[in-house]
Amino acid sequence: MTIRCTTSPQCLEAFLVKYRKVLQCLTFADQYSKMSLAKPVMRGLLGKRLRFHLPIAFALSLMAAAAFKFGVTEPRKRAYADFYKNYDATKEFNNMREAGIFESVRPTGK
Amino acid sequence: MAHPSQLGFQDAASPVMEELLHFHDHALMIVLLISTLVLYIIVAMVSTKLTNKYILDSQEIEIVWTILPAVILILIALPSLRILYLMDEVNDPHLTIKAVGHQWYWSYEYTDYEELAFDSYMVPTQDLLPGQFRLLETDHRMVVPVESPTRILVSAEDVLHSWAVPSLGIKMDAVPGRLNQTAFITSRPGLFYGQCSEICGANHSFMPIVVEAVPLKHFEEWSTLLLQDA
Repeated sequence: MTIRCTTSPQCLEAFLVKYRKVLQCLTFADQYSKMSLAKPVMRGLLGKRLRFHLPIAFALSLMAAAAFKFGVTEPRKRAYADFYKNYDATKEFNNMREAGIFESVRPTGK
Repeated sequence: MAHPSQLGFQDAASPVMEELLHFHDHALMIVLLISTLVLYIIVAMVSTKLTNKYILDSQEIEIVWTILPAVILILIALPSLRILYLMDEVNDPHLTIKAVGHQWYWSYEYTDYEELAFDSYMVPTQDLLPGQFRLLETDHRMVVPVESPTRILVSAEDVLHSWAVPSLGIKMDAVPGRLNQTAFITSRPGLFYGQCSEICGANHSFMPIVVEAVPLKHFEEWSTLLLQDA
């Protein structure tokens, strides 16, 4: 391999053309010229994050509300309904009267 | 009455208080819904490596977070207004009692048929009987017939007071020179305690209220006895 001129661009170009295959083997340039990096996602990142998290947030808050409704609200309504369903005011009054808590009526002693 | 380490309301002893309890549960459920949503969003916003997160333009989300809060407010307002008007109803009460605030006791006047009036002072701690409650008992209780609509006219002789009984869902300011009207029905017999709820001087905390609900027959016997003693 003789290189007559090494300083001018034309000489360099001639060198590269002649020894292209050798250079490609040495430098893997051929594979790199066919493969390229995927362009990173640079837009819509916040929107993507919101589209992921907001439905989860709404679902969790609805679940918390449902848990409160069926764990606290409905049992309380049922408790009051059950208490008054079979409530005997006269019997309860007599019990309290015999316990002596009233000022307007004294216990009968029964 | 209240018990130690209590967080919620006292047990309801009137239909209005039951409605107030259920409305409070409804409002608290909505508060929990919004708080969970906001907490999740806060955690999601602070735990991100994204830096350009504050300039956001979206017509869809603007519409959602305008309409949704309006709907939530309507869901709160409708039951609230219903209870407000329910509390304002005074349907042909069987009895009218005047509760007058003084420094520092309440006086009750039953003037529908006869002139029956008495004062109600707090029982001092050293005079309490076993089983009685400190700072809540009075020497003379306001006796009412159970399950009977009762009208209360609240006023004051000197400074502002407030006649409050939590288990009946009642609180009415006692204003000198003014008659404020409220009404209640007790759902069951028993004793219902309350305290003055407007600062009125040194012994503001020591002028409690006790409502004693008994069957009508015993109420009539009690009022007859009191009139005879007077």
